[in-house]
Amino acid sequence: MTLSWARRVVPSWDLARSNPRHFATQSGEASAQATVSTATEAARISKAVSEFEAHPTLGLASDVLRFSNMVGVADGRLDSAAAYVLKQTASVPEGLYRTADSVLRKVKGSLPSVEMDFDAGETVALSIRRLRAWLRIYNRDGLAWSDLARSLAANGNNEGARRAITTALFINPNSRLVLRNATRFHLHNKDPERALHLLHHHERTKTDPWLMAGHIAISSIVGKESKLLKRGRHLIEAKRLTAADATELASSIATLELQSGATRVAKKLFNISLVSPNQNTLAQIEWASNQLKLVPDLPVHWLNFPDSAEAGYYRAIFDGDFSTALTRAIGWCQYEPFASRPLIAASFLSSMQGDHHSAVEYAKKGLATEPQDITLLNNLLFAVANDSAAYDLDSLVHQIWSLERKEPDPQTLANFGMLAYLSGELQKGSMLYEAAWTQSRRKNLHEQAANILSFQAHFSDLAGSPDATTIKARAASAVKATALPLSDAVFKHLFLSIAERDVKPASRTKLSAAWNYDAASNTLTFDKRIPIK
Amino acid sequence: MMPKESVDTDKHSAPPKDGLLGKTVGTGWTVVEMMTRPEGATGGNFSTGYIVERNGNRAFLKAMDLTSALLQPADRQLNALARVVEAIQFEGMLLQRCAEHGLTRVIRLIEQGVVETSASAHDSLRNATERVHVFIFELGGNDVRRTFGAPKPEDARPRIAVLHDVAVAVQQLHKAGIAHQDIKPSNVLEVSGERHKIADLGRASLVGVMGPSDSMFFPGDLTYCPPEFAYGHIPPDAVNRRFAADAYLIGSMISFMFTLQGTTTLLQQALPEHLLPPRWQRDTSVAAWAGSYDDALPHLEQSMNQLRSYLEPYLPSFCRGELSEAFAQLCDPNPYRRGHPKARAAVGGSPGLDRYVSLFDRLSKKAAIAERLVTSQDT
Repeated sequence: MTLSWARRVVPSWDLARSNPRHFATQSGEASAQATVSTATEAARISKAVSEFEAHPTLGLASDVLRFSNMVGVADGRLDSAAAYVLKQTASVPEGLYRTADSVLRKVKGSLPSVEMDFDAGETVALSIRRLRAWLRIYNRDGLAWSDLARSLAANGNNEGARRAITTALFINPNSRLVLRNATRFHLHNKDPERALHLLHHHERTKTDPWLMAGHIAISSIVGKESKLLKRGRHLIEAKRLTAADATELASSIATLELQSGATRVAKKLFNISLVSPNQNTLAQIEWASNQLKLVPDLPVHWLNFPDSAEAGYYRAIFDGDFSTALTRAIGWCQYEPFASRPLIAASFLSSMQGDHHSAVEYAKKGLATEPQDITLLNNLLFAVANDSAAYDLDSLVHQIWSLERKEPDPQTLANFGMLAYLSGELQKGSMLYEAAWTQSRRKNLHEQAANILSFQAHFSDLAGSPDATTIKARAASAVKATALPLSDAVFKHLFLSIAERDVKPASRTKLSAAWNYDAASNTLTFDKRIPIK
Repeated sequence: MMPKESVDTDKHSAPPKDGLLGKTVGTGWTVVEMMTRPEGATGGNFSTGYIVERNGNRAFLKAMDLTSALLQPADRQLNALARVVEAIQFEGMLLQRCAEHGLTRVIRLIEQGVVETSASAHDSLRNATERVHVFIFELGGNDVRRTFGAPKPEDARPRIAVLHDVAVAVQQLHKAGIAHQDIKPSNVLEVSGERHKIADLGRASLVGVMGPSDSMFFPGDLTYCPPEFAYGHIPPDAVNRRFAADAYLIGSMISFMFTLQGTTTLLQQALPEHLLPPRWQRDTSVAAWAGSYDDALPHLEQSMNQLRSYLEPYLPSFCRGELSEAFAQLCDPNPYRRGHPKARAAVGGSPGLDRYVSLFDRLSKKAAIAERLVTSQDT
């Protein structure tokens, strides 16, 4: 079971009407841009009010209220006209009535027809129904197609999502939002080459820092160096971009620098990205902070916004605060319902807190959109193996084995080691954990290696292995060497919290098929004589 | 006389344009009433409106002089004078052009001229500064804000007839090379029976001539401003900058006639706060839209669809689809596509107002038939 991943500044998949928050601009820049009522406007308002007061009619009252979007909500000049509208017994159009009502209540007005407004509480199925109904009438609404693609992806219908995002792109080929969303879809669809192709061949990417940031990040995912990296660096160094426009580009290049070991340059670029970060770059710095071994000095309330749940999650998990991390991971699920990572996090954290039932649910939810995600499958296996709830363990193991039979991931090896311990095969369990630990070390994943030892210590202890004390001491030493609060928290959680709760592993951990691991060829094998579903 | 005293005297005396009451001007018009609200409150600060009478006929007089410009501080005086002179000359030229083209749905200029309010034989400078330039127009009645209340199923015909008159007026202006730029309910006046005309060419543009309003991003009333200008996008050519803006304003009249609110007011309410440009922002705690108009367009198109779904139930049932479609085309947030698609695709690519003239004409006839049917059923 793991929650380690490399994070890059890939484009977020935003809903058309969601607000991409820029944290630093909440008061400063926005205030400067605010509409200022000029003397001419004041004269126009006075004239309209005088005309209305001389001949009060609904039309003249409406004429006064057209200024409601120009004056501040506290402005009292429009009140008499608003009161007149609300007193009318004749059927006043709803929009006008709402405007009048909002003027008197000193709040912002809104249009009655709100079919396109995203309701944070609505289910994916409801959102799909709503969007399809809308698109039956307004089929040229590219943003609605993009939103539909997002909901379909969250529902596991990637083919439908592909068609919808292609339509969105056909209608709005030059929209930054749609281009970013389409790029993110291809990443979600495990096709980074196509995502890169889309950005690489779009004229706009050469000049748009938001698309350039995505190009750099996705090039790194496919193991290439972006041809726009040099231009991106130049744009940042030339300081010609606004802070908001620079944030993702700086963060994307900073991540590359971090991966290449140039931490000093990375820190400098991350600082540029933090002048006006958005949810994406805030999450990136919180993720990178674990590698940089620092805690970003950011206003705490930035991490408490519902839409910065991912950043809040990284802050909590790297602090070893599993309870807060779980809350934030669940919040993150709501903002990225198509993504597997928040569900990986939620399933891991639920299991760590002994709630394997929820862990199974989160993992299953994630697998509905990404059925072959090995981390989700492993988290599910961990939860199932540790929970007595009925689940077809054989089938799950077979599914993992079919994906990982050759050169399995360290987390898969560790999970098979767990299965071996839980079925009393101590030597096999030890061998698999050792292989998992060796592979993690080879990949320089020190945090993962320490966690593997902690889990081995835990399960060897549960299985009554004579080596349990030695392994625990080794795990403690490895955890100390990482100096990472997360590894420390995993270790403590396994040996304090879970032990205190007297959690027992599932009784049915013995598989119906005999299996083995060949360390020399790094291959998992099953006895073919016993049929596996 | 000391300069200081001269200034003080000027400050306390009314400008000559405000002193025409009781005088006889032009070809025998008597100034009988000063408008209670000087027109300058909305259309500029250098004109005053009057009612004039001749042989029992009443008309509207617009009086302008140079005093407000002359009284500007020294560093601004020449520019102010240039602006006023240009405005008077330009409006005169536009009105002359309208008269030459015989525009039937635009408030008609009866005559224009100069009123010498000072007749000093020795002080020619005083005579010059106290000269008032006047335009006398046919007198319009109430505007549509006063004559139309909440829409009812039985008053569809007069409302569509207003749309027809407005479309005809704008089409006539466009044929004369003039873009009105300030079509709004207060400028649509009832003249006789149910006939309406549009007034106030104070913000108009003339193709090929740089007018006083042409340096402004949008010369008309900002509460009716087409979205491209609010987002800082100014189309480079006259068709898409000026004529397309007029098309939007006709579309906005559809919205007003059936919901009593213009398109821009509704659009501002339909857009989420973070998508509003700085000019339209209400909540200063949210950063205004800082992206390009190209990136804003898909959002505006979506919000316009919302507006359409809000507007449709208020449209007369017998022509809901056609009016809604016309609204969507005329208020298309993309100025380069605004108007009738077939007209846009043709050579020249104008918004194709003639098609809307035909549509509104046909719909008002259809409404008249529907009205007669209802009346005959009632009897």
